[in-house]
Amino acid sequence: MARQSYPKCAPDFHDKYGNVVLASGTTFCIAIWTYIVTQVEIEWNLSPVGRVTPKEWRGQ
Amino acid sequence: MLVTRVFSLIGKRAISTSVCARAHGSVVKSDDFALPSYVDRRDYPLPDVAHVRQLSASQKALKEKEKASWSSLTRDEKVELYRIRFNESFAEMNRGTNEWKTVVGTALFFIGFTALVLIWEKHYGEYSVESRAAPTHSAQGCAGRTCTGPWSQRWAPPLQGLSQGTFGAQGYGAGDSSVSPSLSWSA
Repeated sequence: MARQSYPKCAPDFHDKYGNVVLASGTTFCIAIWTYIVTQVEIEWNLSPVGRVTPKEWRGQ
Repeated sequence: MLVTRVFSLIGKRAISTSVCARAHGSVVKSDDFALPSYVDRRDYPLPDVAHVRQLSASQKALKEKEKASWSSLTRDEKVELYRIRFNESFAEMNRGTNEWKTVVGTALFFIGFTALVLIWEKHYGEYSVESRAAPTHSAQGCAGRTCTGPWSQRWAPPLQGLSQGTFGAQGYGAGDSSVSPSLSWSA
């Protein structure tokens, strides 16, 4: 029995704009977070283990 | 019956079903809600009524031909009989959508908007550099030797988060940073 393909007679919102919304949302999110992590001086409080070396605080 | 009717109204598939309604007399009048109705549901494979109720002349002729031997029906006539009885096939009613793209894209957009909020907070908010400007000597209300010396500053924990990037002698007032009793790290 042959199967006829039944094309959607009316593409819904997700068919029309899904790819655009996904691509633009991903791009915007990655770009803005890359900016905020690298350019804006925010202390993210990453663990100092393996990253910083304690030094004498009073100076020698 | 009403429950399945409500489910078909809630499901988004009902929207595309109504949009894709073929012009074969599938219009539902307002007082038909209590009568047996047609549904495209995977768990209700044989609906109570046929999809097409009002048959055209050619469809009525086809229904008459159906009463004879089915081997005389052509393939297109069999498909037409199927479409009279059913609206969507199981493959059609179970088809996936692209809704996930909209959902994921919108979620990522709002996560990105959060970064904008943080940038604004850093620049204008309570943790901005301007708000941490050291007050003047007189504004502290200093008198005598309490404003100088090793006890002029109360020890404050290192500022984290949206404050200036490095740990260090960021006291809450004008003071001699070299004697501030806070830890200093070299990063």
